[in-house]
Amino acid sequence: MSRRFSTFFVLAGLLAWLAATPALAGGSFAAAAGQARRCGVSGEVMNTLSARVAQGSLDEAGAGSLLAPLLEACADRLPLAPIEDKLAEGLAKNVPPERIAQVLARRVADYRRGRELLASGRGGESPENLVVLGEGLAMGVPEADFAAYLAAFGKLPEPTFLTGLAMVSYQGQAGFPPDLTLGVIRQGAEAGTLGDGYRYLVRIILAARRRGLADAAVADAARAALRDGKPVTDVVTRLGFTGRSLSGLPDGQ
Amino acid sequence: MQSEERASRLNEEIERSVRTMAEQSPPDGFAARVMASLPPRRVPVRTRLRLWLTRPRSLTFTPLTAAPALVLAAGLLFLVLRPGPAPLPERDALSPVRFVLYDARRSASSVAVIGSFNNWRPTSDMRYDPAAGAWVLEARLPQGEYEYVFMVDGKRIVPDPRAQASRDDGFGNTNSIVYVGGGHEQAL
Repeated sequence: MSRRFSTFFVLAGLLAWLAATPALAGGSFAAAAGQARRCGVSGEVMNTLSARVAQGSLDEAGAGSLLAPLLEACADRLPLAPIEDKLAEGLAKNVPPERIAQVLARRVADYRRGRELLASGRGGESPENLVVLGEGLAMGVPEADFAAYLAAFGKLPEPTFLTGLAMVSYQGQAGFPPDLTLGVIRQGAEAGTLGDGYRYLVRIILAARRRGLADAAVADAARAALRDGKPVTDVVTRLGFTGRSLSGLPDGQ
Repeated sequence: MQSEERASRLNEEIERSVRTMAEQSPPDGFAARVMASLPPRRVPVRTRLRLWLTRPRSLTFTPLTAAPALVLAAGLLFLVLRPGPAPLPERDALSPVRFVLYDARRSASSVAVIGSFNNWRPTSDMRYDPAAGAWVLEARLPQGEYEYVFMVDGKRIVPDPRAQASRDDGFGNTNSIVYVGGGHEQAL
């Protein structure tokens, strides 16, 4: 008697779980779509998936599996837009759904980790900070680089904090030495001159490399510009090339 | 003639009597009654204002009563003269971005740019410039970091060989990256 009873509850629980997470089970796309719409998944994403299902280029199970990471992000109150963007990219490139779903799931995990880092190092999060950090982790910037930044500059006021965070992310993706990045940020924070334009210092770093300049030279120029309260364009001047040749290519190309 | 002489003598008599009569005070309330009987004189507002502004006044105060007023005045002065907040960065300002894909023999029949700025839709068609031997698209983008690739003939994905940077897209391909900093130095 007790054995039949427990089996019944196990089966009932399993059915309830399948009904509650149809996308995870690769089940009804319609049910997952309804849940996704209630979560705020963009109409454009839903229309694209629905159209592909209607055309037969994507089966319902595949569409449901693509919505699953979005539903997870929604349940965790993570930003949906970057996940939606990656989904749109995969569909545009005709990547198999299971591969897209893997990439999206990894992206959700990166955002979760990013949120933990922000919570421990800053005591809170803003969607903008989380997107920069989550994307940085997804793009392979070592978690230790962000942890070091948060430990040293976690209490910087906005928007200076976001500027520094973006520098760690972008410059980390470009392989710029993290200690040089932190040195530049430190100079800007001390002088109170780390303007929003420094977020894209990486462009100058990349252009300087094409011209054979060392990363340390860019860091020196950036620190000097920040010490003198100059904008990021001043770094270009100090390095000796004009802003119009940031591509490093001859004019006209 | 006689009546004129009589009138003249009477006047002289009255004048002499007035000059020699004893001094007497007017009855109580006489002046007030006279003034009350006169019609009120209306002074124009402008005149009253001028009189109020030009009439000297004396103010008396103690340091204790003046202190709160001085603090209030200093506070107001600070609010008026303090430097305003730093201008916000122009995140929404658009900067020119030029996408170029060289194709001297024009082997492609169509090329579009798909990327994170257009939700990866092939809506940004490039035009072929025979003089440059290249597919070209002039765009204006807000400040940000964008991933993109070229979609050739509606199906083939080609990264930009002249991109500022590139990265693995996670799907086994490469995405090109453009950083738009909001300045005028964009040169792709």
